[in-house]
Amino acid sequence: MLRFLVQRLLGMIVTMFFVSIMVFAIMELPPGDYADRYAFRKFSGTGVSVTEQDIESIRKQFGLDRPAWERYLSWIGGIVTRFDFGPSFAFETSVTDVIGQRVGLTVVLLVATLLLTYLISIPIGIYAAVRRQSLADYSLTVVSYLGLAIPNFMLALILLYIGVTWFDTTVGGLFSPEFEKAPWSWAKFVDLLKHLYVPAIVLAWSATALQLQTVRATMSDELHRPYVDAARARGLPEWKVILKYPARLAINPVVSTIGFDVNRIFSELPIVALVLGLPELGELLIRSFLDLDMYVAGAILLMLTFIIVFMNFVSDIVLAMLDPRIRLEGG
Amino acid sequence: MNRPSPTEPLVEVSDLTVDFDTDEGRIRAVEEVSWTLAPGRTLGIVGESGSGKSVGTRALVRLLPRNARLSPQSSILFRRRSGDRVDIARLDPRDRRLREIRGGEIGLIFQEPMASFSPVYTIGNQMVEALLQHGHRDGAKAKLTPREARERAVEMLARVGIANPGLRVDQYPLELSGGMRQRAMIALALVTRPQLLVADEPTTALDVTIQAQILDLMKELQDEFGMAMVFITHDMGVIAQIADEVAVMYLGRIVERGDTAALLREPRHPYTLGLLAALPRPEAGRRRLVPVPGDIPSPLERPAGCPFHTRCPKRIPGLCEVRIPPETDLGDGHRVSCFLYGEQEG
Amino acid sequence: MATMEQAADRALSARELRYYTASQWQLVWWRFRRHRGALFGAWILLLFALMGAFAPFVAPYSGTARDRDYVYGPPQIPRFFDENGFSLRPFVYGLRTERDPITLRKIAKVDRSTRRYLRFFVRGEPYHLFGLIPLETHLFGVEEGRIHLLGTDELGRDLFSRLMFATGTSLSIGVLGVLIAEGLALVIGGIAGFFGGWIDYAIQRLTEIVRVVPVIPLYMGLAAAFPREWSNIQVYFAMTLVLGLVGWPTLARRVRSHLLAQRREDYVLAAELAGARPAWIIRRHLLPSFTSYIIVDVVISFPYMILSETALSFIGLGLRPPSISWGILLQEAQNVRAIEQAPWLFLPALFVIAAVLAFTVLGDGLRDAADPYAVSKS
Repeated sequence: MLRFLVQRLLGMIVTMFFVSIMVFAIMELPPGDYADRYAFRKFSGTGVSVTEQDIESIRKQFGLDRPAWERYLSWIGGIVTRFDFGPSFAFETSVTDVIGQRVGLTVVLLVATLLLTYLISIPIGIYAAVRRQSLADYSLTVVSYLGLAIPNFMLALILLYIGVTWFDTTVGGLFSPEFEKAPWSWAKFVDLLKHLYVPAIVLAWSATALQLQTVRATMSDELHRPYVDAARARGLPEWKVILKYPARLAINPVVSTIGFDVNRIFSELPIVALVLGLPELGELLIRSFLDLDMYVAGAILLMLTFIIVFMNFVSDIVLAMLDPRIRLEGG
Repeated sequence: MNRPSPTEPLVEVSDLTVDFDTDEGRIRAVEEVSWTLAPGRTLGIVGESGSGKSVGTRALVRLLPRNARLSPQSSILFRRRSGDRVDIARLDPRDRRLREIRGGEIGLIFQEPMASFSPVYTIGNQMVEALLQHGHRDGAKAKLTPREARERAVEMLARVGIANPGLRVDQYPLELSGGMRQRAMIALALVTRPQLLVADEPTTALDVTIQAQILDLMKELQDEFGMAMVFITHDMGVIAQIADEVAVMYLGRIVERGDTAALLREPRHPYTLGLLAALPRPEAGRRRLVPVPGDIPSPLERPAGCPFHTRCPKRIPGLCEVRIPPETDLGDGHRVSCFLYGEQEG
Repeated sequence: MATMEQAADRALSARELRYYTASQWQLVWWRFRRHRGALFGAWILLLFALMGAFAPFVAPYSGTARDRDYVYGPPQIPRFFDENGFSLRPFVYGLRTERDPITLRKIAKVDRSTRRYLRFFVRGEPYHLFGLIPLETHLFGVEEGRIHLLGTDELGRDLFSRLMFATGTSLSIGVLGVLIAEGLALVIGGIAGFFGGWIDYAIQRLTEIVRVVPVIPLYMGLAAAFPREWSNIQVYFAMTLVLGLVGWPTLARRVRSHLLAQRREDYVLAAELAGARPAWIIRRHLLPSFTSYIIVDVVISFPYMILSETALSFIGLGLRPPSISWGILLQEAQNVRAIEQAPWLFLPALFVIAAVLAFTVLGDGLRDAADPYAVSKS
């Protein structure tokens, strides 16, 4: 087991290394560089004309005239040793300051979404598999098609539409106005919880649809296996026959796709956040790409990917704990 | 091999008829099957696939799919440990007596040893679970504690010949070799000391040497626990080794039955004759094998009259395809359902 | 279901004969036809494809033409009768612009006194069908004034026309994106599956790394690099490239697993043992079983491509105005003022949902039809 853990951990580090290279490449992609944009931001509209020399000196100041691999190393070095993601020209401060608070909110959103997804999809999926052709079974099919057809951001749009036309409010935001800039307190936390359910529902929408189907399908398969019959033949009560045996295996695919779910959630997050006005990383990502504030964008890409890779790691471990076959056959 | 049979039977099956409601129609899997079994005796049931032998015995614990229907005349009388007699066929599927009987008084083992075990729990976990469900401390009515249950599990594993039982009990099924799994499955079924063991082709998937070991083990355990056994197989050789009485089934009906030695010495029914003739024999030299001609008919198209008439070399036209032959007693418990032997009701 | 012998004994009915001798594609087609949902999906997609391909013809106006007299105008539904009586030809009412006395904004008012009759195959603004054929005929129009079946937007542009063009753009980007992605996937996944060993290992690591980054942020990263100076055509093609570059890992993984699964099949081994050459095996045995999976993969990937383009254009990182796509239309619909004044601007959302559903159902149907061992859904 320990060897398994170490193996996976190393894999995580290697993956993140290559991802960081890819992210850096993306950061370098847009024409022009940080110095150009910094100068543009700082001096446009002030009537002061910027000379090429000014830009050059800014470049030297930030070390942008060094070759790509050097810049990459200093960037990644800063991240790994000091959590320093570089400067943000749009906000004229370090990236860390800019994204700091949002990271926490993003994680909270993620956790809420995952909880919602699994708390709904697992019990209902199991129930629908056991009671085929019941109301739960049919509505599950309908919901899963809807979930596939209406991606999260469309749902956000639809909710926005409904909110405005029928309820005359804008849905969204994670805090009521009075709490937005306030320091953390119990009251603020409660306020957050009250606002959390709309974004969580929107974000959980397609993941829930997918997992409902997966759980039901796996459960259906397992229910027909001989060991279920054998358990019944031993006189175990029906609820135990279902919950202790096939249900345990039906959870496997759910656990193994946690990373995938997080990936999908993060993929839709920026747009949902934009529509619903959520102050978290995804929305900031969009703005930073539009502003070409690449250090911020790169940092967010890296963070989001890291969380995904980490969740993959967690899911591997949990799966190994749940299923001895994986543990013993080396995964 | 022959044990004296005490007077009171343990199981009395009468007129058991099982149908399945499918999209393609009503399929009859078992028709008017009756047999009795005394404690400590072994009944062998032999037949091809499709003969209804599995369904017929699963019906004993009502372990049938949801679309199965027992006819109203079916009756399965079982004498419980407490002395009560219960008609299992008449029990409501949710009756707790059914759950008590399953595993506690009637045990099942299957062809595929892995089939009994869930792959994600240890052997010990599943054995202890069965014990906690059914087991009682000797004498008193109090249920076992987990520690007592575990001790019994380890004992049982040792009794079936698994080395290092204290280690194995905490292992997962996939960690055991094929032969050990089969023994573990037997341990799982017998740890609750049922009165009756139903074995559905437990040796079919094993190679011959292990087969012999397992059969010996089962006979020993049967003697030690005073258990009755119903042994299903399609292998006449196994029947000869293990069964006191044998019933030959074809397409859901019992076509011949009797004391094993007598039946094997003088088989009567054309189907039984065919089965025995089809056995490869070393002394037969280089002669071709003689299978029973034809195929078993589809259950959706049951032949009228005697079910075997479509393949019977001795069929009597005008009679065999019209009426089902009644059972004729040939003496000493040997009975056959064939017009060749009975009075043809005129 | 009778036994084989009994079946052989009877003469086969004509229907059975056709079934037993049908080619593989015919069997797939028959199974597919029985899946009603998939057929329905196919029809819808066909409709959309026609709308898109013939957009300049179907749309009464160009996508950018402005009707200054009718901004934020509600949809005009053709009628057959009103208080003045019944008319065989459908008509809409004429429009008048007035100034709202309070807000001083221009409002379009329906003038019920004038009837504008609908005519079909009318002459309108000239255009080039498929960019080649110069034509002037439009599917429908009115003799005088304008008809806005689905209303207009803030600039007075006809939504119906824009929707037709958007359908064409969105679908075509999806098609190109999928083709590029699948092309890359076949090559890369094929190499990985075919050669195995460390090439396979390296390629697998590569696909994992690309797949682990969330998709839309990755698209955003690439799309953000499009220089401002690029023309809309350049952006269009760059978008398809981006969709393909991000989409290939998922498809490549599937290509590889299909390839590996097929190579291990016993029938391949049998063919090898019989002395068949690799090229023959690939052509005769592997490719046919392969193709149906590829088709299904492609159809199933469509919705993702379309949604990605829609999402990107929606947030402003994809196509740019005056290009028209579903995403762009939705972007214009998402501000509160638009929703309050012109809720019909949300109609493109229905098109998106319909397209995604249609592709999904179609993909399911194809997959069930192509798999000879699939148990039919009962």
